[in-house]
Amino acid sequence: MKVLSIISTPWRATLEEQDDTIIWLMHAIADVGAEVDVILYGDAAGYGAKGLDARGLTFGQTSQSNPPDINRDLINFLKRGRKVFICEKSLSHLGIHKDSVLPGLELVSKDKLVQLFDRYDKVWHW
Amino acid sequence: MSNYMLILSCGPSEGRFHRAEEMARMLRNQGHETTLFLVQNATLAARPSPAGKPLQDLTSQGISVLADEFSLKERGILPAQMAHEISPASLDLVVDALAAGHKVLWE
Amino acid sequence: MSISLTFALMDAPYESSRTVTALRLIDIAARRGYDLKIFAYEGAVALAYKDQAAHANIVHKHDIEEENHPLPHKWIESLHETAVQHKGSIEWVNCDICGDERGIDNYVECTRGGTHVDFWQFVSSTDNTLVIGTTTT
Repeated sequence: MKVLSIISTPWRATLEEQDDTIIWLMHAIADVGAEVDVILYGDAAGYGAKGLDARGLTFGQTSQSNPPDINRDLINFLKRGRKVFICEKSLSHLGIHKDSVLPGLELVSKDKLVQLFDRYDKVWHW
Repeated sequence: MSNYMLILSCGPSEGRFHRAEEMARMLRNQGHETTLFLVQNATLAARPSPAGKPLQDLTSQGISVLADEFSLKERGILPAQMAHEISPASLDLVVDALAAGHKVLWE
Repeated sequence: MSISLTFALMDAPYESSRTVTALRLIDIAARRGYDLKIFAYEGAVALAYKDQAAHANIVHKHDIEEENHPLPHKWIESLHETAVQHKGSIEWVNCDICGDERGIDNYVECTRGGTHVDFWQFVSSTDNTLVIGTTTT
């Protein structure tokens, strides 16, 4: 079964979790055989920009030693042979230039989204 | 006349984003000193972009629009990549506003 | 006289980025030696839940030590210590009935249970209040 996961709620407690829990879950189920790909949509297109840097969080004497690294987690998802798509319209809405996008991510125009959905057995919107 | 600070944390795709913009405009129209402080996903509107245009327009009405430096960095947005109407700022300014007795609302 | 501030929190741990921003604000105020009152309402009562436990991360390939997973109750303890070091204070109250609903009553010692009366006394006795509502619908 081929699944496409739409991610549209980015940076939701990522500092506490030290990752994006949906990207984490896609990694975890890919590990046990899921044929799952991801599309970054809406505000989550921001995950596709290079240079995300969440280092430096400190509360009192407690510093975060292992901050989230969403760029790394997306690149590692590609390394599994899975795909990461990104909505071109979402990118332009946020003012993110294509040359700022992580290498390996596939841009999809909004009018091609439904055709992309049709290539999958299930489409999940998180 | 009062000093208002509106903290906006939701991203440009969410409904609250536009309500905050509207509230900032209403406060300013009544003559209040108004600052819109962007944190978390609201800083995604800091690049010159269609998403950020409504916020950039607020500055022409005398509303200050600031963006949390940490949230910007977390989203890979460098100061040089920001719309010139929006300034990076320390979260300390929110505590300053609270300490000064300003009306601080989290949208 | 020291400045005093009240913060009302609503979101549960690991659910919203508002939690971290709220704690960053409290951290800044604690370092200034302010007297801080925190009212944890609804899901936010779980921030101070003492039984939160760290875990390994199979995706990051980190064992429990390498992952060093954040625990909000530890952050609260650290903020409390920082406030004291800077000659300020944090009085952190967890809404009792919210805890009852959620089966949470085991809080870190630097916090306590309380009611809406505490909230109103905090608001009435401090210089300013920031309400950080929830986005969850």
